[in-house]
Amino acid sequence: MDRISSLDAELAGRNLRYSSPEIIMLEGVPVEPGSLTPPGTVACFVANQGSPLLGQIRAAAYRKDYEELRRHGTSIATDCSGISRRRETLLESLSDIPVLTEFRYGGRTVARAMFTSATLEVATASVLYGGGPLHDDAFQAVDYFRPEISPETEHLVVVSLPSLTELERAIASRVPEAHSEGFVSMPGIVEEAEAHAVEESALDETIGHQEEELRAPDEIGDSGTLTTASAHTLLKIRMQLRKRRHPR
Amino acid sequence: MIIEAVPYVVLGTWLGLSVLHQFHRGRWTKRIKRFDKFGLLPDWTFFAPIPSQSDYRYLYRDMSADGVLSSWKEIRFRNTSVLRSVWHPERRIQKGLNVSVGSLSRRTIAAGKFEKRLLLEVSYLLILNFVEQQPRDFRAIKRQFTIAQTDGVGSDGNPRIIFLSAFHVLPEA
Repeated sequence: MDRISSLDAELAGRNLRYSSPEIIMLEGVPVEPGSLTPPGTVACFVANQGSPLLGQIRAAAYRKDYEELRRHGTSIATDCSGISRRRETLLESLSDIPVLTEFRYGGRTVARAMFTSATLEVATASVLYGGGPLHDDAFQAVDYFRPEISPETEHLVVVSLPSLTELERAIASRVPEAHSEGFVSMPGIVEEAEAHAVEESALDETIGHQEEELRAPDEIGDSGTLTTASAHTLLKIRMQLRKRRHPR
Repeated sequence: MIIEAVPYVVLGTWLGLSVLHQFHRGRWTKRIKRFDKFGLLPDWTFFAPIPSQSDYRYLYRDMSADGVLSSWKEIRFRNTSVLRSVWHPERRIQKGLNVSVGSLSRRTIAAGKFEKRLLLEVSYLLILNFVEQQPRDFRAIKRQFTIAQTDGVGSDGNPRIIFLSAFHVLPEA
């Protein structure tokens, strides 16, 4: 246990270097087992400067050679499982790692504590991406390095656009973005969402008195209105109301 | 010889009673119903009065902190296992969701509008909780879901949107 130190504590004692990773967008990547960049993901890569493997991955992504990307994915997965199978100790503690890399998008951390080693030339981490616009300049790579070294890493982000089904495309064309928040409709009342959308303000007006009854400010808190609360919050409100109505 | 005949007699009787059971008039129908305490005899009106001819489809999309929307993603219930015809417990989840949608629909139609109090009903909570558990976009802080109806194979391009939620806050990952 004493070998395992806190990541936050380790990062706090290191120097930081910020950089903009190279971004490559892919569309139409086939869904295959072992794929390095399956559709609907953002894959982050970090390697030592001049890494031949990262160079090959980058070149394959630019060529849209999905077969080669899949091969690299399989090879990296094999390397990782080999390390695990051999119970190979990559390091004694976090402080042994010269550079720990983090990827961010906007203010959010996408992947953290990525590092390479003698047996793992390229480190990769993927997150789900459901589509929608991405801003290249919102991506940031942060290297946390020990003060005595100079980090020589390079970063790559491969965005693989999600493939949409016929139904998903049809829904996208029917639900207007302008009315994307705060309206509800139900069968028998509506046929087309846009035509019969009930604005949230109108909804509030109609049932304002109910809202007062239902509102439990301490539970809703920062979650916003009842309409936008999470299932967990709604459940808590429901239980509170039941207690209030049926006290023991 | 007699023992061998037993299954034929039992199954034959069951078949005969089942046929009679399809006729809703006549004295024998009432008698049969009276003795069929365990509901062993099928009725052609099992799915009546209107058998289901459409499917409910569940989709969601995410919103990031800066208001960017992801594309719609359908929740799939497909089970590709070869054993799915004998073991497919996920069907219970789908059934539960469909029953919940039916319950919300009936109450909305009866009230003439979607009342906000329905947000606290078990039916709504069940659907919302299920949707919240689906994989999320890496930027997501809120999630909206929609329930669409399609009429079987080949109708995916022409869905009817029957419910569109507001954007619900996603719990911390």
